[in-house]
Amino acid sequence: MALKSENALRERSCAARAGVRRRAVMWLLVFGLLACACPFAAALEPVAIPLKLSPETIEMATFYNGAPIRMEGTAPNGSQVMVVLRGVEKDELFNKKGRVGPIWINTDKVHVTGTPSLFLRFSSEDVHTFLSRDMIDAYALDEASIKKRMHIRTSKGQPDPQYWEVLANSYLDLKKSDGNYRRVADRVHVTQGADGLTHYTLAFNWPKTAPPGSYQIEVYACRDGAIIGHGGTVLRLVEVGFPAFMVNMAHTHPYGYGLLAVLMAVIGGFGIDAIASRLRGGRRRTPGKRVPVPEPEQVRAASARHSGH
Amino acid sequence: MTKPILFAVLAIAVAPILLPIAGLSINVGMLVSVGALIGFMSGLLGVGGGFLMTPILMMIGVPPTVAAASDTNAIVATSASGVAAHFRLKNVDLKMGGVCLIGGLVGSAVGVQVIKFLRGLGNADLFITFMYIVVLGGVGSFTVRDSLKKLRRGVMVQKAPRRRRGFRVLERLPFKTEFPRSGVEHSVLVPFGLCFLVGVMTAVMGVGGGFIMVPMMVYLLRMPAHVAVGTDLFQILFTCMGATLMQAAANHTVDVVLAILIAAGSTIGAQLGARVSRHLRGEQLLIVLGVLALAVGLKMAVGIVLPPSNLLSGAGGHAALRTADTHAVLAQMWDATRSFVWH
Repeated sequence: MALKSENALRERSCAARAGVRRRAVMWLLVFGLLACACPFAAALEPVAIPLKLSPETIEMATFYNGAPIRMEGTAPNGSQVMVVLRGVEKDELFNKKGRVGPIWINTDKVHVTGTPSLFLRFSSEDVHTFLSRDMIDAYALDEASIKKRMHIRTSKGQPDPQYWEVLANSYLDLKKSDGNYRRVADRVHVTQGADGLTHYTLAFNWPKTAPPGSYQIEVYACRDGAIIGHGGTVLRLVEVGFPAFMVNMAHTHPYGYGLLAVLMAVIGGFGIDAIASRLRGGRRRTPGKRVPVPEPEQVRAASARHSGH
Repeated sequence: MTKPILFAVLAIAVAPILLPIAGLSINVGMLVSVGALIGFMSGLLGVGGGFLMTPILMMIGVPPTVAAASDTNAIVATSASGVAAHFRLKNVDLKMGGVCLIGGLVGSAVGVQVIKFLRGLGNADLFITFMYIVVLGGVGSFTVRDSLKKLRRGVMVQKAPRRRRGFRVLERLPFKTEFPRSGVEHSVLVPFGLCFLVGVMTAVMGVGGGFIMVPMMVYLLRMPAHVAVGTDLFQILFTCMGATLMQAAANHTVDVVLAILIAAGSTIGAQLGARVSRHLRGEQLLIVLGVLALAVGLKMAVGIVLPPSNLLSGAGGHAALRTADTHAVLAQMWDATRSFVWH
């Protein structure tokens, strides 16, 4: 009886030891998996990086001529930095030319949506040297990735894939030739600081032809083909002073504004004429070679002669 | 004393200025120079200049809708200056201008309905392009040929030309009236009907109509070329005043600053143009106008044959834009008139 109970105790303690071992192995597995997953987690969730923008708002007064912009901040050690500026997405309408016989005429209307109105990318090096294609696509960091998010609709509905490709390429070519889509490498200046961080600066002149509105500015820190840091802010372009007054009046009192425009033009036109005639006032007028206007009686008589009456 | 003024003028010329409605900054000197060039043509030939100004403004970055509307506003100033200069030279026939203005407005209202019908059929763009080429080519070549012939013969316009059967029919129409400034006598229905036709064409083509109106006044209404230019400017002044008001009210696209700068150049240019026109014979003026019409027509013909650099273009492209805008404005004017008359 005593032997039986002793065996039972020994079996129980063996089972307990095996359970501890299994739990230990399980925890080891869990820790191992977590340790392996950490780099991926870091790649999926980039750390926030600071971005100091100066100025944050550009005021467009009467003699506005663009504005110098400066961005600076820090990124994780050894990273390359890229800054992207995007205009708001809007529905854009285009005429599409097609060949009808020997001539090219507008044959279709094309709506393009899902693309930024402005896309400027500045980087510390050529982007393809420090970022993988997947990452570029995931964050829409070049024209090819913007193309993948583009929505195109024609007057006849959705275009077939071949036609879609032609339209998308034409759209991107148009944007690039207009200067609205641009990429500049080696423009972001990076230095390794004593604090173990990468310090970046970017200075450029804001294009004076960019219309007022809000522009999204994003900064990316990249290393080993992945984005490890991300920050962003909004740059606002606002009209102030006389231009703001005019815009406000054009929208709130359109008839008054229209009347003012007409009156100013008429007064300006007659005013210039009055000044010009006054300037010429002292001089003797030359008769010129103006054609003499025939009297109506002469015209009637000549007309009657020719028509045989 | 002269130097500071010169420096001030230079400083203003190179200064940038923000166009509030267009929302972009442009050099003052550039806008004034472009305006002066177009104004010179306007004063010399009696054309509005919109067909050149809008694409130039679009090229320097002004949004198409703002370019067309502000250009119309600037033409008000240019034509006012031109009309005043021509009026002093006794080149404006107010009576004929009034009849033509009414005929042109009624024709434009009908033209809006025509273009609506064509758009419904789906071939409006093709029709408009062909109409441009045929009308500009036809008017241009006829004007140049006829004027060259007259110049070679050394004959001035006093000689009343032989009337054809069509003209004799026109002479028998009722409501005959004299137009002393032009030195002609017509039934009111003749200038009204012709200007009505020009109004229809300009509404369909989306242009001011100076190209068609001046040759029509000279060849069909037998007006002296100088008076035709002045009278056409008079008509353009009122048409563009209405269009500016409507654009401002409906689309908020009139940029007064842009218009003032263009007008500053174009009014001076128009004065110079009107003065130069005094030293040219009517035939010489018509040759310049004809060559210009031929050049624009030729450019359009070449443009539709050569493959485009890009298949897409802004839906506010020049011809389409002017057409669309003119239609929008005229449609509003037509609706407003209709509701005023019928209710």
